[in-house]
Amino acid sequence: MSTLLSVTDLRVTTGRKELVSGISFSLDAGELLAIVGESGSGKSVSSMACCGLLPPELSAVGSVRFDGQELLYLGSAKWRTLRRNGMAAIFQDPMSSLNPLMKVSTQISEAMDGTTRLDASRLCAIGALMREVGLEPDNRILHAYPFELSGGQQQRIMIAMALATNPRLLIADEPTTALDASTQAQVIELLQTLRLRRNMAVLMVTHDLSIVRSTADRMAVFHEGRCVEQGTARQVMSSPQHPYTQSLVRASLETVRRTRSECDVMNARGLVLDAQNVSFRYPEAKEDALKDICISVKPGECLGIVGASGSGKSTLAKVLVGALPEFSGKVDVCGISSQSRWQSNNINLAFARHCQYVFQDTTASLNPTHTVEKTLIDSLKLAGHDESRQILRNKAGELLLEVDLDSEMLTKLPLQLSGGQRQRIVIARALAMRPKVLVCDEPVSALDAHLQKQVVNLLVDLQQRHGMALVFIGHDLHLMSQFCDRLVVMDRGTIVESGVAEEMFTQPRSAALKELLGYSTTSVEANPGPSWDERPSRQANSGGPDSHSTRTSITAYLRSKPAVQTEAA
Amino acid sequence: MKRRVLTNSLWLWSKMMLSVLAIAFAVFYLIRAVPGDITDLHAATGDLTTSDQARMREELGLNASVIEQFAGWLSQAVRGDLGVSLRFQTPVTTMLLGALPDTVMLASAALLVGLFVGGSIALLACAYPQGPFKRIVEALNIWSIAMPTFCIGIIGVLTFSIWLQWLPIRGQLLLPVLIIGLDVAGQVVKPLYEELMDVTRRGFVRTAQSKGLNGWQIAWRHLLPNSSAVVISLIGVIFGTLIGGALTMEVIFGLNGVGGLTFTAIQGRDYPLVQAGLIWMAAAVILVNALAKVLSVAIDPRLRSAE
Repeated sequence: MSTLLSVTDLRVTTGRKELVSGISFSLDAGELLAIVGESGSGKSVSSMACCGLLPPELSAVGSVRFDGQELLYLGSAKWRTLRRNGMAAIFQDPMSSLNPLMKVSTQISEAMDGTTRLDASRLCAIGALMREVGLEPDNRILHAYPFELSGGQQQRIMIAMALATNPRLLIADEPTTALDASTQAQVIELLQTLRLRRNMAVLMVTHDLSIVRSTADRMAVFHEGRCVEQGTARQVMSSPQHPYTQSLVRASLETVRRTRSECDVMNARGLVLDAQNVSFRYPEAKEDALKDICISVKPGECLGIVGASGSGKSTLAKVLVGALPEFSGKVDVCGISSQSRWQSNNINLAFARHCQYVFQDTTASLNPTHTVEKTLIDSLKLAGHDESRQILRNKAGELLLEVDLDSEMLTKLPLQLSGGQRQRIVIARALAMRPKVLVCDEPVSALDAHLQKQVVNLLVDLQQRHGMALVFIGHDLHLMSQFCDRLVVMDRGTIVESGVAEEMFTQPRSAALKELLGYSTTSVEANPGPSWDERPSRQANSGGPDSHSTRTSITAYLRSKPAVQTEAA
Repeated sequence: MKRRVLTNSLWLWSKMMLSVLAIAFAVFYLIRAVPGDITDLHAATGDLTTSDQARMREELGLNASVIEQFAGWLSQAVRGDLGVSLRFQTPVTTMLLGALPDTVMLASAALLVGLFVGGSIALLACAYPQGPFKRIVEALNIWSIAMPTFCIGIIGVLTFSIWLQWLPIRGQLLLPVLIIGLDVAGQVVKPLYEELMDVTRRGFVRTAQSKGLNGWQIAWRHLLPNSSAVVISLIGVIFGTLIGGALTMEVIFGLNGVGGLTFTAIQGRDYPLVQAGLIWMAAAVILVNALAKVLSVAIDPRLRSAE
């Protein structure tokens, strides 16, 4: 096979700091190379350097050759020609990658020849592209604006735009990270099908080793701006050589620590959170976002709420903490109704001391002008501490220690911290209140796999140390089943299934759960499901039906996660 | 859908009418609260005896309570009659309509100049971050804050009309349009530049680049529409004020505009004319803001579905 892209000794700097220090790799025609690494390893930056989309403050030296042509010092006119035929890119967040004010069909038309015309022949061509990426080009989708589509549909539109120029190389920068699990699987399957059909090379940047396993021909592992290991995906995954790769592969197999016995929860009396017949409709919406939801949480219990995006789980979280008070039904948290919390400052404060909230978006949930110290001390004061400044500062330092951070962090501003550190600060801020219930809305979805495990471990540790109840909302069923006492599955505003995690895996009843488990919707009957044995479980020795692992379908790539474990063990 | 648009516009319209009505009453009340009416003015110059003054007040209806006067004025106003100027004895509507062309011309020309200059410089500063344009953005912004237009107006008249004698002293629009235009540019350029820089960092601009679009296509189709919201709301305020009359410019350049008309009316305690002038200014601001809202809804499909 001929080499399509070859990168030699690529260095990217901000002027002061070197982000990528001397990376080399190459990609053959039609091949899929996965670049793996944690955030800050230089993987995204390298891929952007390959397609000439580095932010202006970064500069690259070295050599990037595409089809024999040197790209790093290419003029903008030549770049435009190259992008019109040869190279295309898709990005992490499809919502922000599409112009919100332009119809998606116009945006696809632009990708074809730079014009925005939408006559009959053009619409026909756009329809063909849409069909190729699995969208039915009816009038609704052809004339839709990006915000009217789901995340998966948006990413399909992005892929359609990339295909419009018939590229030989597609650079995909974390194409599924912002999507929920079932959509992730579909998009990965689509990419795989398309590249085989069109013999298109793909440079895929990802942090999810299960995607690498199910799709990649070769992989390169990046760490701190260097490429520490390269080889065929199978070889690297089964016998990693470099210590960093070894830790990465190990982390992808590790399960979340959990020591508390089940009886603690069973014996606990009363309820810290009790929601009865909760219904909610957004103003001017046609349908209820929540329909007659009943959930309850015992002291010290961990309840997981899973569902695809749009299933109403975040709305439920907001209702539970009183952020959306106009619901019908009743929500009691430690005896205070979440509707009544806004009646007076005192009730609100009492409610806040019982119940705290951790958000998904770590940037938005911290005041960018407040130092960590101010954030934590403000929260301590609200919790009723009225000691001197010095004592409060010490207490803030202790809070940081609890979330495994150094007390040197106190002087930092949110922007100076990484995503994982920010989320720890948010958790520390919630802990300052010593709450009885902690509601976490997708607390780790914006973090990469490595950090996800660490933050979840932290939450579970804290929950056990302080006897808090945890309401954990997410879409990663595999992760959540490792530490949640009970799970409820939500779909279109209702609870479709609930129970202990074990049963959910062996006998998924609802279609929503089956989809979350990674089944292709078309082959539900054909695949009875992953066995309990395969799951990375705290009770791996508990009995269950024999494995009938069918790893032929990429759609079921989620199920390849446990398979890795079996192989490595 | 159509029905919702209709009810929404009706609602918007009634809100606007209510605001104008409230402002009309406030204006009506306030000018009468200031001591001294037109009869006092005549009395002070010795034209009127005390008894004549009382008779004149009675004739003009100035002795009635403010509410009664307002009710009388309103019943006339809804029929399109804003009263007769006390000083010139001409219908106020005619005077106002006569003053409008100059004002509207000045405001729209200045707005176009301001948008063109401000928009181009903001775009250039965004496209060439290394070049001098970033400094020009700052300079223009500080210029519009620090230099009052009347001050530059006087310097302009001195330079171009008196020393160089290129332009007539009174009755030309070129200088006031340029001066107000530059002022508008200074007010618009910085928010627009900052918004553009913000939008440049958004994902869809990178997508547009990766499609192989050229700079103009990216700027025109992706950057500008997405940065327009901030400018549109700003222009709503600026244009509203301009169309209400650029008082100092009209006085300096001897233009027959609404601002100058209202100014002389206030000096002469010409109640009907003051009322008409001020209400027009308020109505203009409200109307232009409503138009700005309609425009931003037309640009952003997300607002359409939220309404």
